[in-house]
Amino acid sequence: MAESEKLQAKLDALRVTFANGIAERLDRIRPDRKILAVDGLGEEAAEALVRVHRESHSLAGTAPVFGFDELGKSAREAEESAQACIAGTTAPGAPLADAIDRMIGDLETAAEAGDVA
Amino acid sequence: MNGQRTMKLLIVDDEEINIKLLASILEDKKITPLFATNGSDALAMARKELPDLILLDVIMPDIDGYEVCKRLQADPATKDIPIIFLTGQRSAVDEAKGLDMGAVDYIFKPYDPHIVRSKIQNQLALRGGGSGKNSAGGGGAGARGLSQRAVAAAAVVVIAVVAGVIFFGSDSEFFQGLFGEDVPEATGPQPRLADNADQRLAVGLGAATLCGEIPPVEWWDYKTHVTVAIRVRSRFEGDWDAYIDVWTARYDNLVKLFEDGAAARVVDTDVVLAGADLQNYVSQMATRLDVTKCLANEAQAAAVRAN
Repeated sequence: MAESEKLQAKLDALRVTFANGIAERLDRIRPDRKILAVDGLGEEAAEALVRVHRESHSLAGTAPVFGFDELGKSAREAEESAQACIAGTTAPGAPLADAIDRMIGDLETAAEAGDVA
Repeated sequence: MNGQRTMKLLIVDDEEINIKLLASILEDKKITPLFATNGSDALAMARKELPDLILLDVIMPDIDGYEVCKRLQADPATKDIPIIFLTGQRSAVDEAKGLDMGAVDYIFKPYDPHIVRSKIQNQLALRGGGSGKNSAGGGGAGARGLSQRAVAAAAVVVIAVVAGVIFFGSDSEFFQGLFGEDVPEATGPQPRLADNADQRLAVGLGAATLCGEIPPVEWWDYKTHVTVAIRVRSRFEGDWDAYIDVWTARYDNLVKLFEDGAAARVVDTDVVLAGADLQNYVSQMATRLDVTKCLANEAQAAAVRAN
């Protein structure tokens, strides 16, 4: 087997590992999504914002390597939206919630790659 | 690689899947992979193992990659170990910062695994022919490592500036992005920073008191107070002086623009501010600096108490 084929085989295996880890990521993101949806934000929400930023940043850099391009894009949007809130440029609101929801939707789609592989 | 000896490669990333990916694509009998999932462990591992190359993520839960790089370079035992940043921080400013700190390369995530493998193997091959402190021996980073870094950093700056001149002419936005400076901007919309949503957030955050020395401030500043405190604590802990220097320079620049009656495009955003909006932003930045200095003092006092 050629070197590039070997590498591709390893990537395929890791793609399944990545997909199988999505449920765990969703378990981390969904509670923070709920916290951020509550009106009258406090310190808990600010901390949730930092966690969402970190999680989406990580996904934006990792997902496309395994072929999940749409997830990478929606994660990047969520990251930028969360970053703007953390920096104080905008407040958490509908744009952030929508971005997180799109990322969650793409995570759920990507998770199917783990189940069927 | 020249086959002389096994090379140690330290992979630092808080995402386990990223470590597995790198370890997998670099699987080679001549490479011994070492792992760390946070900055503290990375520092300890680097000092203990003296790896031939470090792949370093930037955003991590405790100490960020830039700070890890800084501390490694401050330690005589580790200062010559070459570092490649592998990060999702994708701006030219971040890249320039990483290379200015002495990294031999700066790779954006997401990356092409085939290309990353080639880049890393090239670096290890260069190291394999060296004769520094890691030699088994041999192979430690010596003058060659330093030279590589200097050449890489200089090359990136030259290429970026030349590319900017060729493709953007004197476009201030390009140079703003490259050097992270607020520059005058005469045209464009002037959106307000504050709206009702901000105000609701500020009321919610108003009860938080993270730094007792900060005097009572208006609703907007409460928001700034809390968000800055969280941001500084999560991303800049331990690097207070550098953070304060950067923001002081930006503050001085914005004050001058306001005094000159000019407009400013805020770094990392598309927001253009002038007049009262710029004055408002300058005021927020002053509070931001006060909060940061206060947090730095608190950290220093805590360190003294701990000793």
